[in-house]
Amino acid sequence: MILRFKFKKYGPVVYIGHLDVMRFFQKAIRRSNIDAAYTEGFSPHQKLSFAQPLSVGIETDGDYFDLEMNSLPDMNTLVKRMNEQCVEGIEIVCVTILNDDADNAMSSVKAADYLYYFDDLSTDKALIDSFFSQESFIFEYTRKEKTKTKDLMQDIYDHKISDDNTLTVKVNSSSAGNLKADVVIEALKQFGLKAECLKYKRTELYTTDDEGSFVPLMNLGEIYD
Amino acid sequence: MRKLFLSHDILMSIDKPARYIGGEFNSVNKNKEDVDIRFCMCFPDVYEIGMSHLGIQILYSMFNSFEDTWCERVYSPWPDLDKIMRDKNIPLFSLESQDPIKEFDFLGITLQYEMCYTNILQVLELSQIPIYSKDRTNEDPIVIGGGPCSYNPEPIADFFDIFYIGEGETKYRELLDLYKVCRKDNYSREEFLYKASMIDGIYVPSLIGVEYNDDRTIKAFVPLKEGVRTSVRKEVETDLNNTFYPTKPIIPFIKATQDRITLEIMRGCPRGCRFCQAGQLYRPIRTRDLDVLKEMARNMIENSGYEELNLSSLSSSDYPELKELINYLIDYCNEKRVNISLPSLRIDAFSLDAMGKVQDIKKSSLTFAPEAGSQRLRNIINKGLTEEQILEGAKLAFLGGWNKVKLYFMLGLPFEEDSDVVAIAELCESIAKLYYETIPKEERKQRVSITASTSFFIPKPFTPFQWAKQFSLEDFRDKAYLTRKSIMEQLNQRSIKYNWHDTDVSVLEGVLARGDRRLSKVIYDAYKNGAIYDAWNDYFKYDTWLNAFKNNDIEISFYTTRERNIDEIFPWDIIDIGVTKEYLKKEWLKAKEGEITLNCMLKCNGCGAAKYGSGKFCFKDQEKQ
Repeated sequence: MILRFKFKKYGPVVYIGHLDVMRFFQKAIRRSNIDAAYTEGFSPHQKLSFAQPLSVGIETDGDYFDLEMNSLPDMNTLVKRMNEQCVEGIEIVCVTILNDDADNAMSSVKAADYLYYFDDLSTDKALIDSFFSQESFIFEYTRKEKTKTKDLMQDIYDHKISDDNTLTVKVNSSSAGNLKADVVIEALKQFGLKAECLKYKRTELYTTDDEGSFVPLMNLGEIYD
Repeated sequence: MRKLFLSHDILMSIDKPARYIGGEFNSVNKNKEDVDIRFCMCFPDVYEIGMSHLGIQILYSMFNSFEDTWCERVYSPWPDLDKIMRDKNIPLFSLESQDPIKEFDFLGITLQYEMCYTNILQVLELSQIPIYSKDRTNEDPIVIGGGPCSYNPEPIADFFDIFYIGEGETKYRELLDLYKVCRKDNYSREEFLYKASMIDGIYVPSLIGVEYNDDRTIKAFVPLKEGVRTSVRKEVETDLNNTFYPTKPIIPFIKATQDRITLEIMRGCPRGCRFCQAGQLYRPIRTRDLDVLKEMARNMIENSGYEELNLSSLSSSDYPELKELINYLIDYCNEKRVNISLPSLRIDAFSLDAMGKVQDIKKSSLTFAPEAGSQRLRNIINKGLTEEQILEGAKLAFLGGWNKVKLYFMLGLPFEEDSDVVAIAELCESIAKLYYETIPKEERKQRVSITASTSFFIPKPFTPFQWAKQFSLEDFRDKAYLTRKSIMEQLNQRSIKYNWHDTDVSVLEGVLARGDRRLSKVIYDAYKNGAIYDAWNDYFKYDTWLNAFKNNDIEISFYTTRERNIDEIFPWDIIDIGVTKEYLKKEWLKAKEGEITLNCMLKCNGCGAAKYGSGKFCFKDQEKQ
């Protein structure tokens, strides 16, 4: 039996790295006294798997971890019970009893939505639309002293501009071809974007169904919130 | 939502920004309008070290249990942030409220080791609080020091307004009440400090003058105001069953050095090893009751979510109900899937059985701390561990499947001769030989592995060795080379590994440990010339320190290698730890004769700490009388 937890991270705690977020939840799960499954041996640990690491400094509305259980707790109070063990800025949104045939969180992630906040997009809308309508955009960028070249359009699936100066972009987030959120902004700037990106956050992680459509990770079973 | 003091850009440009954000589980937030006193606790080292310290967690829980007080925390900014704060003139801030430290009523700094002294100056300077106590005004926080190094506070006396001598549980309430009254009645800082100096355990260095002899030793301590004591007695929590304990410890987000529950089972140690400062400072010996410890362990496991529990004391084997405690914890922790990290115990059938239950024998090692190689020297230091006991323990362990042994020694102990150093190698060899004699060839899965580590002995105040000469840097090195050479000469040398630590820092630690007030200027100058994080090898700048001594015309040898007269007045004689100087003198003379003193659970040796009226073992004999 596996429970899939969806969580948010915002405010001061965005400066906690991925490994420390994992350690935080390991302790919160222990404190909540739910009947999690543990490995055998001298240092038993929980069977816990996170969907996708998030860079330090970034907010999220939709990150996930899977936890294997020996028995299920009262599902109607579970979110509240877990949140009592969390801190300001780390919040469980909902829990899914995962369907038996669902893959684990890490291997099933295919895409992520990022929401970018700009100072003023009013004059850049056409430029953004034309950027995303390209068949191909070969982009060279440097991360951790390594230069990479990528056709970004292979890894960008969708975009949406909203009236409140925000832009949502759906990108490849699979282990094979994860596109980092800041690369999109860098590319847009090179393409001529004038608006200033104030901040961005992850809003959802998706897997794909049999037809190849994107499905939020929480939708693979019965959801409790 | 809490707002952070540092900007996003700064936080993204430094290593481990989570060191500076606070908000950890079980950290305490109050409304600053609702409290009278704001107290900031500081451990002057990096967050991961500071968050591993039990004492601050105890005091944090105590202060925050007071309705009128909000206690927060601050640690030393790492050099990357230090530079940014200096460049941009950003004041140091607390983790909880993220408010500048200079707005607090008190800044309490724990003094855990001498090598943190420059970090204290860093914290003061970055907080924009005057470094010297004499330069502070009514607007500045009261700066208090406490912890082991406050038992000789003289080298840093000029930087502190108050030293709290002893265990924090007893007198802080009285001090805070006095502070409230003084503030209400508009008393000046000086008036508050004067009144505070009348409270037991409170030492206000600015109210004591020091007169020196021509040879630079101390002639006398002189009160500078009427009625100021020239002997401040240490405070002791007499009832460990009914006192503050952090049963809801703060859980750091980033991994602290001690990432586990600490269960303090007793204070004090009955062994009386003559090199050991803690063994004297924390007398009398006091234990927590078994039932209290069981409940504390359960609560802390529930409230923390930690995966590991650690027992803390100076000598756990001497805890009277250790078997019951460990057996209980093994069962309970097993059920809760929490690991137990056992303290170093006397090796016998019970401890080996317990070790076998909580850790993988193949990976774990057994630890002995003979401290000296020869029985002669072990008698001098009163380390009541014989070669027979070590070999017996090792044999039991080998038969139980262990094949890794760790041994800890000190080099440079008083009256040490070359033959004592060579004896370290010989003891290692005897253990290796014992393994091959005990375990038949066909049952040996791996070679036996013996690791000997040495550190350099530094004489500390309030020990029988406070009169001892510290060996010089050259002597230390020669002793380490001799140890290595003798180990190489052993038949089984391939089974013996030798580790030793660097020496420069030992010299400085020795100076600061037994230093006097004239060193404040040296510390200040060293800091101003870039000395910081001296406890970290990568940052320690010995030359900077040597220059600071030279420029102030101060001889290092006065503090380290000088022979001290038996009647010399020491800088720390202003403090009374309960154990009398007469007793320490007697122990020093016994050490010279190689005479041992018994474990004080067996027989009261009359050290003086019994006057605290606590600690049932101290009183067994006296009750009978």
